[in-house]
Amino acid sequence: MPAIRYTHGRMEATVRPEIEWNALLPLMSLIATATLVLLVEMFLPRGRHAPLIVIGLIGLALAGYFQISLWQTSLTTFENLWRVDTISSLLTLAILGATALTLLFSEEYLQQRDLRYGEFYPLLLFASAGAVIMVSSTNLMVVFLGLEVLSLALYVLAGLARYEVRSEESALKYFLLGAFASAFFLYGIAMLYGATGSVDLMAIARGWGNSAPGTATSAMLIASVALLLVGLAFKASLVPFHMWTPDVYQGAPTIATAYMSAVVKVAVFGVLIRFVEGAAGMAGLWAPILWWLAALSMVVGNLLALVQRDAKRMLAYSSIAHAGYMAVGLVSLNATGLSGILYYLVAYSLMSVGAFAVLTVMARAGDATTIEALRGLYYRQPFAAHAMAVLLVSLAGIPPTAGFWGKWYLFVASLEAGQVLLAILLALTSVVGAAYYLGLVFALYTPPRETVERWRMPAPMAACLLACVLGLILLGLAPSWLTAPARQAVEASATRVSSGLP
Amino acid sequence: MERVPESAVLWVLGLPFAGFLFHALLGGWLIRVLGERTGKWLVGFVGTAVVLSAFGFGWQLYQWLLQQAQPQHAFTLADWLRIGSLQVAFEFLVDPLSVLMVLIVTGVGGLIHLYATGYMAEDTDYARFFTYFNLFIFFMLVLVLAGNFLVMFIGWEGVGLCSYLLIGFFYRNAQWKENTDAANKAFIVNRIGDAGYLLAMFLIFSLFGTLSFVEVNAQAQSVLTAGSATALAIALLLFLAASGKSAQLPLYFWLPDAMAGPTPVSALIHAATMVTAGVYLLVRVHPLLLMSPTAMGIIAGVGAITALFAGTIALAQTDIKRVLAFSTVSQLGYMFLAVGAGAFWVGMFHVATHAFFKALLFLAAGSVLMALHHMGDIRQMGGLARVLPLTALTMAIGVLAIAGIPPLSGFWSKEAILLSAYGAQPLLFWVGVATALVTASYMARLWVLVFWAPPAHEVHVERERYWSVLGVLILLALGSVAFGWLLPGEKAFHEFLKPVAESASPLPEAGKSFVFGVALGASLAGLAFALMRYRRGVPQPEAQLTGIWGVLHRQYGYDGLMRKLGVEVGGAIAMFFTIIVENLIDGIVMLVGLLTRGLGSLLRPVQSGYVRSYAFVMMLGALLLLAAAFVYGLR
Repeated sequence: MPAIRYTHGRMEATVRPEIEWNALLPLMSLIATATLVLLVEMFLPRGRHAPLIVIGLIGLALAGYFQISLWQTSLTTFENLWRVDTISSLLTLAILGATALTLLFSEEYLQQRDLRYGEFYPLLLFASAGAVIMVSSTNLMVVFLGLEVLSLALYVLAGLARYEVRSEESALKYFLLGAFASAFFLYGIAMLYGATGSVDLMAIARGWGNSAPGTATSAMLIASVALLLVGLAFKASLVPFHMWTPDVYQGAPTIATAYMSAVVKVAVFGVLIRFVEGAAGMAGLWAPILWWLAALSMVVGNLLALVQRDAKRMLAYSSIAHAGYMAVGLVSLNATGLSGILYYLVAYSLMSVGAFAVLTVMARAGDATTIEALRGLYYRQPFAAHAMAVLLVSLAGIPPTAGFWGKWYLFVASLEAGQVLLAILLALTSVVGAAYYLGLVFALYTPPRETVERWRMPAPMAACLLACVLGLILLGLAPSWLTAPARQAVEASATRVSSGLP
Repeated sequence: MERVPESAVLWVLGLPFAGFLFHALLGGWLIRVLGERTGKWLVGFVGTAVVLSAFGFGWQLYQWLLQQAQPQHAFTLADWLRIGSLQVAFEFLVDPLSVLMVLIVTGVGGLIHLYATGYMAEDTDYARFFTYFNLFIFFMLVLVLAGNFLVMFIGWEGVGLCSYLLIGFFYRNAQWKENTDAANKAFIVNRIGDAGYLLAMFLIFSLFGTLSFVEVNAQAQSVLTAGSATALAIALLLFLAASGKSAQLPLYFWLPDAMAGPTPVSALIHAATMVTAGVYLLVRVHPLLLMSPTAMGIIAGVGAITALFAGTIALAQTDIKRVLAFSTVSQLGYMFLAVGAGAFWVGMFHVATHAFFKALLFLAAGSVLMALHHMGDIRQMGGLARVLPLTALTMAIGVLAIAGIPPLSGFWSKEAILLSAYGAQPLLFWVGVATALVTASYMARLWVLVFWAPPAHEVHVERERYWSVLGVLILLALGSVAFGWLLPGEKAFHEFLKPVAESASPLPEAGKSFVFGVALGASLAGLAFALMRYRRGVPQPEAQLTGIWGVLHRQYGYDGLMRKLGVEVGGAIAMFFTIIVENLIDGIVMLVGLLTRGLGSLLRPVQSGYVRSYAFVMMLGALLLLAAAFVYGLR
């Protein structure tokens, strides 16, 4: 504990905590970039955003460089408030990557939809900073701070198309329900503090070990775990806390949807991985609950995606299903499952950002994203259609793409953990998933009813799609490149947690 | 042990792949931007240069290998799969066998690329051609350098794909449906062989627990019982795979149709390299084959029968490329005969010499076809030696080489094969001798009808005009002359391959002069027969293809039978399954689909769009979750 003494109303720290500034460099460069972009935007003529994108990409590259130089280090600093290890490095890099991809393809959409707000770019970077904070701490107050930074930026991004009712509705819904969920989360933190005197996730296990069953302490701890789960399940859009997802995803501008579908998942599942590690001793309590959340998400997400006529809404429901798949890894609570989630998060970020990026192409035709409107996309924009085909095949979990291996590791993990029923559900619901994904692929290549003009694709967007597609294929051909470090990271983290180290 | 010069291996593999990417991404654009002439020159130059540079790195590997005491050097490029006990890496193996194949593939392949810059010069799909051609070289190199069954399978399927794409290369015109049919035929027939490969691979993994060639070969004696049914099954499945790729009975019949592709493709893929992959596979894993003498007997027997069978068919073919195609099938039969007789290095020896003279023969045929505007009926040709002197001369060298006239390359390898057969089983030897007789006659028939016999009709002939075509013909002719006694000699070749492909028992010394005499006699007799018979053109009734000539021309009815079996019987089976699938299984699937959809629609109204109802559901969920937490937590 920091030794702080109060004398005559002035605060004096007697011990100066050791601070590893290196550990903060990625976050600091991200925030500095966001601030710089905000300042530069003021001096640019309206609608000229190219410098912002360039600065943003450079800043992201810089942050990525700092994070990579922290690779394989494991440390905590700021009195255990900030944690760097391979898990946080992997997730931070995934967040930075998804942000960079979003930066690449967004401008075209902003121009086509006449949303020439330069604020989009700093907001995006601030949101990423929030996400990075979330995955780099086990202290719940810090996590909450990150969550709010991320969420506030996202509320604004969802309402970016402010002359449009759908976008406004989406932002308001997200805000109201998000505030509701934050309250649960905050209440959970309070309960944890009441029970253990600490707000660190790693305190859960200690508290559970020390509290006798039936006492008020243990009751508070149980309530705390439940409330924290509610808050996180909302952000992860697990059923039954998913209701906001389709409306917000569909209403928000597609660029914002692309971003949030990937980055929020990465950040929240990062926290969830720390949560299940810290609360492993209480698995008897939360595992059955997460079992139900996973099962319901897979079933409800896939079934509802099947009946959608709008591709954007379909992908929203499918994101619920994917959250369910990843929750299977949490329930398994073994190295295969948790490292499988890390793999899945990277793969899903690529698939999701890529798929929504393809949908932004439709901004040229009034932003209609119904499956009917997407019919014959191949004849308008062959490259977009080819890329979408690969992305959808990967989302459906068909080899040789990364989507297959992601599902495979989670499937194996649940079998290793003896969760046969969950494994079967995962396999069966994936079949349902294949039906609507491949249906969309079919629509893309069906000749359109009338003759259509060819669309030009801006080079940055092509680069973004190419990166997603190549990344998925590469990860699909050589999954070990990612799973090997992920597994090491998870095992090292588990050893550390079980031996009680910070 | 010194480390493998990994960078050389990576260059060998990477250069053709880089060439493929270059043509695929930029080729068409360059030709459009730079203009027909410069663009095509650049594309052809890059396509050829990458393969010839790969040959340079292959040569470096060869020089390095000569200095090593140990023959086999495996190295792992990267991890690939780890699923439970299945651990497969991107593993490559550098040993005399793989380096020999690398030199053949890039050396002969590079020359054929050079030839193609002339042959394909007037084609509109120039860049597409070199895209496939470079990709083929890449996959072929993966195949030969692979260190385990799975990596080899990548190459195996990859070359199959390129073969398919190149057989059907001329597909744009509706009249070219035959070409796409031929491509489909090749692809489908090869599937049967690939099934054999996969089954063999599964069986080997379940028995050995590894797929690495070095480990499997080393453990063959301890894991398999000699003469057991398992050993027989593995060997026969591998042979099935090999007979698909290398066009042996019963799966040979895709190769003659594969001549629909451009001639450089026939020379490179369907004569010099890809079709020898089956022989290579068997030699690569020969310790497995040695565990089953029965299988060895079957391989030798099938090889000998195929050699004679295809050789006799070649006697009655009228298309210049089809003659050569059946000749390839027949020569591949020779190679299998050698492998089955246990003389593994001899099989590879014939692979090497055959690569030279068969590529030469095909490319010379291509030169003839260019001159005649792609009219390939040899009954219509004649007297072309005066117009195409260089083609006639180089092709004559090819003919003498394949006929086995000393001191040309074909003589040495054919004599070694017959010697090994003589040591194994006299009957096989006599079949081999008969094949030698037939080979000499159909090749001489071809040459005489094309270049010497009086022309049947007046045809418009264009002169030889591409230096790349003629230069390559001359270089390959030199190779066909010198390989086997000069560069390198049979002894040196044997020494080089000895550590990895030594014959099961030494070649008999006793019968050497007898075999030599009989083989040479058969070849000379064949040549003399054809010279006499065809010097004035095709006599009747052969020209009408009636009687025995018709039977031979129709491949003894085998191809027709296979077509019937495949298309009609297979079609009937497919129809049967279609009916079952469409009505029964599809019905079930549709029912499940409808039910799921119905369920989905039932869930839909919950999503009303009102924030208050969403919040209500959330609250309900939170309460339930809290209750569950207490139920589980207090238990």
